[in-house]
This record gives sequence, structure tokens and C-alpha cells, in this order.
Amino acid sequence: MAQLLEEDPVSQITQTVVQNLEDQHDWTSVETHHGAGQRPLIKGLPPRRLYIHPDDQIAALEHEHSTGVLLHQEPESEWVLAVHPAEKWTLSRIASVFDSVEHAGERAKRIVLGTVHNDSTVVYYLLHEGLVKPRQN
Amino acid sequence: MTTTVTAWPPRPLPRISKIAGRYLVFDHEDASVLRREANTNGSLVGTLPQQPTQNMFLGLPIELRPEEAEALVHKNLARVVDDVAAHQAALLRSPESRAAYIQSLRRDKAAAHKVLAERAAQKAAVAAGKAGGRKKSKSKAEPAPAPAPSDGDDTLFASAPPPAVSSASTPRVADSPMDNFGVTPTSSRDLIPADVDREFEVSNTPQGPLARYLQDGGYHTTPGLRFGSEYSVYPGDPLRFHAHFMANQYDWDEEIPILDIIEGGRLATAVKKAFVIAGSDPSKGEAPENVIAYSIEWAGM
Repeated sequence: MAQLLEEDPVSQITQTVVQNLEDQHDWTSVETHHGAGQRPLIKGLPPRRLYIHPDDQIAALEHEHSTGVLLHQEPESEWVLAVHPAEKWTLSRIASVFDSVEHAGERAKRIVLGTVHNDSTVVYYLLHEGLVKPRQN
Repeated sequence: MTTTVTAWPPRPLPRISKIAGRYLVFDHEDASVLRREANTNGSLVGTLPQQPTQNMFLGLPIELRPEEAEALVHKNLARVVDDVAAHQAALLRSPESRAAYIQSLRRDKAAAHKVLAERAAQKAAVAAGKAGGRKKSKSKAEPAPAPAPSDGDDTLFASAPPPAVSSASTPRVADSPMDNFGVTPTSSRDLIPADVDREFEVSNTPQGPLARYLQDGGYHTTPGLRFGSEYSVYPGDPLRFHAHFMANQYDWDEEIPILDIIEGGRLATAVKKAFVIAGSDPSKGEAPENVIAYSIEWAGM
């Protein structure tokens, strides 16, 4: 991994995250998008919905309680940005990543930060735009 | 700029005293107005004069961070005054201002005496009602007269002289707080005339875009030390809510190590919060709506 990083760090960590998503987390339709002058972004479909806003979760539970029908279960495709822990980012660069996310209608509300360490550990953190209240509080 | 002061009761804007680079609110009404109307709770930092080493159960004044004070001034919800300069100016201006201040203290003391005397009388009446069935004594319910405010400076801060105890049957009004009462002013509001106060208003308070943004969004904040961030952000009064966010402010082009973002997100998720990094794009101006914030939490995979 360290050797690979020297060659083309960004595409290597991106490739690692793609493989991790497909093989460990069973994501489908995973593809890498290369924006002009931007970091590559990964788009994929998780097997289950990755994120439900806490308010929607409460509404869904109430709906299920009264009607027995589950809401918000269909998975949504997510955008993943692969980074390495040794990197340093700035707010302006994060903002430009959000600006670069392709969208047909509504702008992407979040991206997933996939951080790859040299020991091939990958951790995933949600990066929401704006103040989004936490899921358990 | 949605909140206007006209909605408030007609009282002056809360006054923030700038003393030795710290921003303090001494007036309890100001502190409660800020808490209720301007989602700013501040930190209690005052100790009792008798207990200077006290570091728990603190009281007034409340201390605000500079950027919190600035956010309030920016929204015209408070004003910051250079307190040392204002006091010096007020005291040196004329001997009458000092006399007027002493008079105001005396007024406060008399008012407090009145309240305490009434309360003591009420207690005495209750006690007399209980004892009256057995002893049939009737004179106990009468309130003890409040001592008239005296003219000398020497009695201003001193306790009132203990009334002569007439007999053992006198109700125990003598032990009521009234007799040990010395006025401890918490603010010197009456010392400084309004025009002098305005003259020493401070306008160059350092600003923070995140503080303005949180103030504008109706969030309360407390120091974030216990969760390893600059601010703990609450959706309402911290006495009613858990914090939702741990927030840090960064410059627009300040480098943020990815490891710091992961650390913050990891810790915040563990304590059921989200980690927030925020800053404003200088090319778009400093308005709260131009602040960009990102909330980070564990993705659960």
C-alpha cells in the first residue's frame, strides 16, 4: 500500500475504497466519477439504506406502529469520497467537493468520507452539509 | 436580524462589562433576559467574597466569550461597555454622582429591609396562630418596624443594630435575616449615568462567524472542553436539553487534518452527538447565512 501511494495516491485509495464497498459491504453499481480538476468520487448503492434522519425515523416508527407498513426502507445511492488519514483538508475544499457532486434535482445533502489507512482499515463517516442533528439523542 | 428589541419589555439593552479583556454580565435581570430572549447562557464565574477559593456552585457575574458578546452586539441584543473607564469617568465627574449612588444603595437596602420585614411578620403571624390556641397571646403578629435608613455612611454596609430584646416571650423576630442584613450590590448600574455609559461602549470586539451563526440559529452554547471541542451546542436551554453538537470553528483555508475529523466524529458519535466543523467563506461576507457547517457522524458501517 505504501508503495502504491507513491505512484498515484488518490486513485489507489479510491480503488481500495471501491473494493472495500463491493466486497465487504455488498454495495452494488459502484462506479468512480472523475470531475474536472476534482477528486474522484465514488457512487454506489448500499444493500440497506445508510442514513435516515432522526425525525424521519420517528415518523417511520409511528407510521409502522399504526399501519404496520415500513417507511424509508429502500436504499438510496450514496457518494463516497476516499481520503487518507495523513491528508489535510480545508473547509473550502470540502465545499468544492459538495459543489462538484452531480445532481439532477436536489443537491446532495451528504457525502460519505471513506478513510483508508495503510493497514487497509477503512472507516466510513457521514459528512452532512449544515447542522444536522445526530441520530441518537 | 430577525429579532428586534421592540418586542422586549421597555428596559435598556443588557449591559456587558468589559473588564481586563473579559466580558461579564453582573445584572441578574440582564443575565435572565439574555438567557430567555437571546439564547445566551454564559458561564457563571462569581464567587462569594467570603469564599475566594470557591470553584463550584458559582454565581453572578456570568462570563461570555468575546465572540458571543460580539454576536449579541451585532444583532443589537446587548451592548459592551469598557467598565473601568466608565466607572472612573462617572466617579471623577462630580461629587454628586457618588452621593447619588450611595443614595441608590440606601434605597435598595430599604427595599430589601421592607421585604424581609414583611416576610418575618408573616412567619411570626403563622407562629402566633399556632401558639395562640394555647397561650392566647395576641400581640405577636405585629410586624417589627423596619429601621429607617440612616444618613451616615458607616451604617450603609453594616448590619442593622439588634433590637433590644424585651422579654423571653417576644417572638423570635430578632433572629430573622433582617437583622443581619447588609446590602451586597451585584451591579453598579446606578452609579454610571446613561450618557457616560454610552460614551464608553466598545465596538471592536473580536468576532467569530460560528458564534454568530449559532446565535442566529437559536442555539445555546457552553464551553466544549468536556467533549474536546470549542463549543457544545444545545438545541435549547442547556438545563432542558442534551447537547446535539460539538463544534469547532476553522478559517476558510485553514488545514484540518483528516485524523482530527475522524477523531471528532468518533468521539461525538460515542456520546450521541455530531461533530461540527464550520467557517465562513471570506469572499461571500461574514453574514451568518454565509457560514458553512458540516456535521460529521459515524456512518454505521
